[in-house]
Amino acid sequence: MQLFAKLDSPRTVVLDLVTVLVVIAGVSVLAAVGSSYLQGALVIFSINAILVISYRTITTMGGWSFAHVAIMGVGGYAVAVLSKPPMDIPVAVTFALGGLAAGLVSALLAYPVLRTRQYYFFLSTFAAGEALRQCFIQFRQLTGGTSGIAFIEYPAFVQTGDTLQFLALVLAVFFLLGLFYLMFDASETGMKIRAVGLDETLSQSLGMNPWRLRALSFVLGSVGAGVAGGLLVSYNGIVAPADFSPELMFKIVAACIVGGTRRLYGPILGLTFLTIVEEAFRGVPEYVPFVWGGLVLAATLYVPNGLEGLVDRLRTSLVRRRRHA
Amino acid sequence: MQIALNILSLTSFYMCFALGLALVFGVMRVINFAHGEFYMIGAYSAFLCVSLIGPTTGALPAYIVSFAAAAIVTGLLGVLLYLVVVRKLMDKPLTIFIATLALSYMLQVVVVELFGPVGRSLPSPIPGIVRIGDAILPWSRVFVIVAISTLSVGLWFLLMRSDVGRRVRAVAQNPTGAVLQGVSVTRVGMMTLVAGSMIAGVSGAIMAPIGGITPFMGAAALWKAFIIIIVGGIGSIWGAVAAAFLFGTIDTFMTVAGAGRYLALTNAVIMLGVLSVMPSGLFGEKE
Repeated sequence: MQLFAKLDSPRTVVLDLVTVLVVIAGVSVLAAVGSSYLQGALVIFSINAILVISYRTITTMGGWSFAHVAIMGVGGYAVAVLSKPPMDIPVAVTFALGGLAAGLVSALLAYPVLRTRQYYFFLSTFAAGEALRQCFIQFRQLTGGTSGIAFIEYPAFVQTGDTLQFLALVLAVFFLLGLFYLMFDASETGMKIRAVGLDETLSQSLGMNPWRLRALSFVLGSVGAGVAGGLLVSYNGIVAPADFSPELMFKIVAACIVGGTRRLYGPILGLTFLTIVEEAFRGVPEYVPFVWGGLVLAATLYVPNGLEGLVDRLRTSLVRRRRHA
Repeated sequence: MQIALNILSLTSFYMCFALGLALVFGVMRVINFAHGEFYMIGAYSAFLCVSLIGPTTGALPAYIVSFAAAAIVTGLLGVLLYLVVVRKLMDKPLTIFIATLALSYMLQVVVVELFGPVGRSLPSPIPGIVRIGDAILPWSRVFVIVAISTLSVGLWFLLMRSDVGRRVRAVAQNPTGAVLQGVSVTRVGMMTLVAGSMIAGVSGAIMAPIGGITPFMGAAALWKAFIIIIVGGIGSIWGAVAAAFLFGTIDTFMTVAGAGRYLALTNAVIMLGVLSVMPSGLFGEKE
């Protein structure tokens, strides 16, 4: 299988690259001028940004997984367990191992889960994710049960307690993974995966192997989630099942619905929007799910392709006006 | 004997939850994620009803009336759901799933705001226990078993023996064919969604005295219901009944054996195993 041989039209690749760079620039500027609270929020935002772009890679094959956050948890727990005695592996190395562990678990899940489509796929991934989360709670010897594992360190090259340095690390990872995902998306394999997402039967009769392509995007997307989980755990210094709640899963899905998933900027735009809403309701956090829910409901009913669709509509109407003038 | 009774009791609990979900999916191909919240709202309706009219009429009549209250409230919610969301998004299963997911979060927040995040409890209107041989079973659980069985048999008669049921089955089998025979698919769809919602609400009211009432009770039970209807085959109501019995049995035995903490894992592994061999579940139709 050729991974990066032939690229999509250069314009969309550039657009995706610009998206990644704009996120990094925007977060850096805000972090430089902002309070320490804002810096912390930006770390979480950037980790979530890794999550949504990895999630988008999964959605390109046409299935919306609901296990993404639980798989992220696998990465998080891998970092926690491996970086502490008796393993004592350096934290930076465990980030990679966490991504690997997440990829491995998703590969195991891929066989049964990817045999299903549409409704079955949401339900089976939802149930699989919830079962994974139950495992985090139940296997107390390994995971510390509901209270989790505490005192997880920053990687050695990041000064303990220095949020800015950690943010730089997260942004570097975001850059690398963003680059990887956009290259993958633009490659021939990525195009094939989108073809499978559009019409599985047709692409099969054209000689593609839908199962392998879908499994590949599922596993690659999960690796990103695992790395994001590791970063989150290291930043928080503690891992607990509550970190990988269905609410976070909803936030990721909501970001993709509100933003759209056709290009990389959609989910990022959606996530930014949701994060701003979340921060605006900081005083009354219990209302946040209500507002998010309302936004998603409105988006599904009135803006079928999310903010991306709005952008497209705006562009076509502008073009039309220019033509008339 | 005790084990058999426990299996029966657990099965009926799983059944009441999965039944409405399976019905709505089987006919409309719509997964209502807010089903769990309808169940929870049914329980709260029962709680409100019993605490409002209970003091004047006594606990048991109030409890019976509360079923009707739960059915009306969740039925209205079903109508709203159909008119606002489902009708508009009929051909987009993912979008309906996401929209009902969003709705479920909104309903949770509403209930938390109205009743507080802390759970309530409804004292059982039928106290005492019954002895069968050397096994014991609280009357409240006997009531659950009887009520759920009545509900299921009633649903079976409605579907298999009535004119309405015939129309519903026609739509489930082949919507186009049903339209050609003069069946209104939209009306049947709305009816099914309302019926499914009412079943959820009544189940919530039935279970309220046993499980306790919290704003999150629906969400907590939902993933189990998903596993049950996946294993049973999503299109099939009888598959859901069979799978409910299967998991009722497995879960009871595992709890008795002291392996209760591995329940979630075992259930998930069973589900994944079934999917690997039969992607459309044990009794599901082919996609």
